[in-house]
Amino acid sequence: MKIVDLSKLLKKYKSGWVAIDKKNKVVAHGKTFALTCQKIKNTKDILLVPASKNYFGFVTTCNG
Amino acid sequence: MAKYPYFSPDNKTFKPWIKISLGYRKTHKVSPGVIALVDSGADVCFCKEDIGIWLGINFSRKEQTIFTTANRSTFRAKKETITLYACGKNYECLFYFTNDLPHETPIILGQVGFFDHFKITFDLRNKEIEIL
Repeated sequence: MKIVDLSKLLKKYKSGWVAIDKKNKVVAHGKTFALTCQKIKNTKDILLVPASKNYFGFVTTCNG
Repeated sequence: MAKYPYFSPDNKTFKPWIKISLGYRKTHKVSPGVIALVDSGADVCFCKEDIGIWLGINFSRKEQTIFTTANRSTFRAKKETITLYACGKNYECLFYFTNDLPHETPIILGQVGFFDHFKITFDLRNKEIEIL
């Protein structure tokens, strides 16, 4: 299966949240989740992705 | 469709992210689609507290649970039941909310709450995750 390659879309954003539409276009960028949601109000089929300088190196093991 | 592609946010790493939405019955708020990490190493489901506040959850006076990470450090999280919309289903799911999650991993779908609702097969060789 083809991966969803967001690298080109996310490259210019280092923080905050990016809103991507179903045509794979960035339609909004906001500093916080709430601000980004406000910018895309009433827009359907949106994917919110956190923007970051670095996505590598995540590991989890969680015990309650 | 039961197969979901891996995501690459930086052309170097492959993430088992899926698009989900979160809702909160008490406020009737439902989030836009947002990425969530499918993580078999997490015992439960986690979410950034910021998102919980946006949903309208009142975290004051909520009891905190202590969790331990892989390097033995600890963090605290507050639990609340919310609606998880994922993979064509929606159901009430217990999430633990904390701002100690890394920004790039705002939602984690773990064993209790996600893996106990689906049969999940990771297939990085073919860059796909099967969720039944």
